[in-house]
Amino acid sequence: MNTLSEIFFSGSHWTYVWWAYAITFIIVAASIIIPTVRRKKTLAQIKRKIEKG
Amino acid sequence: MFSSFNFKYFIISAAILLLLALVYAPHSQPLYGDPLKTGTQTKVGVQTEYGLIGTDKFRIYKSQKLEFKYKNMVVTEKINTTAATTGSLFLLTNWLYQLFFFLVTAIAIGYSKPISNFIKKTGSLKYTYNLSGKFIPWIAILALLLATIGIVDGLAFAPTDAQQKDSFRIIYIHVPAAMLCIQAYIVMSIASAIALIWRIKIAEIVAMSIAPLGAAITAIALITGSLWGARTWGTWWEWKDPRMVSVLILFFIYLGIMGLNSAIEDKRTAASATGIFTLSAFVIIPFIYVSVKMFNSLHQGSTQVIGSSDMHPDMARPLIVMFFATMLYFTFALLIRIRGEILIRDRKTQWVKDIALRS
Repeated sequence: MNTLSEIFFSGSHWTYVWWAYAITFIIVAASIIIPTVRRKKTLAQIKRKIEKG
Repeated sequence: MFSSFNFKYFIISAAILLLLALVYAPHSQPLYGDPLKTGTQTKVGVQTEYGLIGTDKFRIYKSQKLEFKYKNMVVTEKINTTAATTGSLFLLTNWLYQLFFFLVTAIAIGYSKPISNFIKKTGSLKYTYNLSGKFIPWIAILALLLATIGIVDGLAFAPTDAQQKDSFRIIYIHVPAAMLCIQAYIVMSIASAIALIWRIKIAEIVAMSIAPLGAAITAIALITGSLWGARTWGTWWEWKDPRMVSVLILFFIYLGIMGLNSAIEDKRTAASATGIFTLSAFVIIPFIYVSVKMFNSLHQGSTQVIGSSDMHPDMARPLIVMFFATMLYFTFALLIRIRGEILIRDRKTQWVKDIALRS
């Protein structure tokens, strides 16, 4: 925990760098995961409809 | 000879290339780029021996020299030559040369049978879905590989900046993201124009898929820029800065396009409405480009990275790698969105039902 708080809250030059990279990573991951899950849901929905007839 | 010329594809490619020429060519070669004129007032961030001095207004007495008082002492600092430039003229001949090059390319596309056939085929949603499925894994692998190389090189091997220390390493995500959020809008505008003129379904899907992605990338550019500014300029945000505010407006435009698209139930009507909105709001793009040239801005002007660069090669190398990694990430994320949207639009067709049953 000490290390994490040092990385993100020490106020050094590196703190700003880590924050920038961490936020970017979260946004990039979300921009890939959300449409992938949505596509799988669409396929599952179509499959359910076909199976129901 | 002229019977084999495809006028439609010539017009589409000429429009795309002309737009690229208009946006990029004037930006590429300033005729003169004298930094701040003597006697002008500006805001700059300077790392001095007295610490970081950033948000006050200073008067420039000598070109490229900054003189100000601090604790009753006169301090003179050399200004970074990449600082905001005022009133640049652009090299007209270079611009015309690029226009000529783009025009020749457009004519070649008009005559080219394989390219014409490819454009025709990509109009089919099924073909685009299957083709993109083949490319996606390779694009993802390449993007991941380049991003890993770029980030490791940028964080571990690039030398520390003399003025900004290690906080400059934000450059490796901020600059590619800032460039991409503008390029994404240009691509979205081209797709919207094609969708409005020729009512091509795939163009509508591309335009609508870019909006949320563009918003995410603009958010990255804004957040990382703010973090960088907090350390180097001493301020998180500056409302009077034209570059920062214009990029924020771009972010809201992306959100507006997403909102308008989801507010209209019929997909084709929504595409037309958002297409008109996208093209009307295009005016923000040239403004973002010239904002640091026309006005005194806290944000620095563009730095040449390739060729006779102002940057140290060890600093520029990861940046170039990250440019390509970001482009590939954008292509990858866009293709995922396009595939999802194709399935929704074509959900009643047999080929989509077959895919659903196989999944």
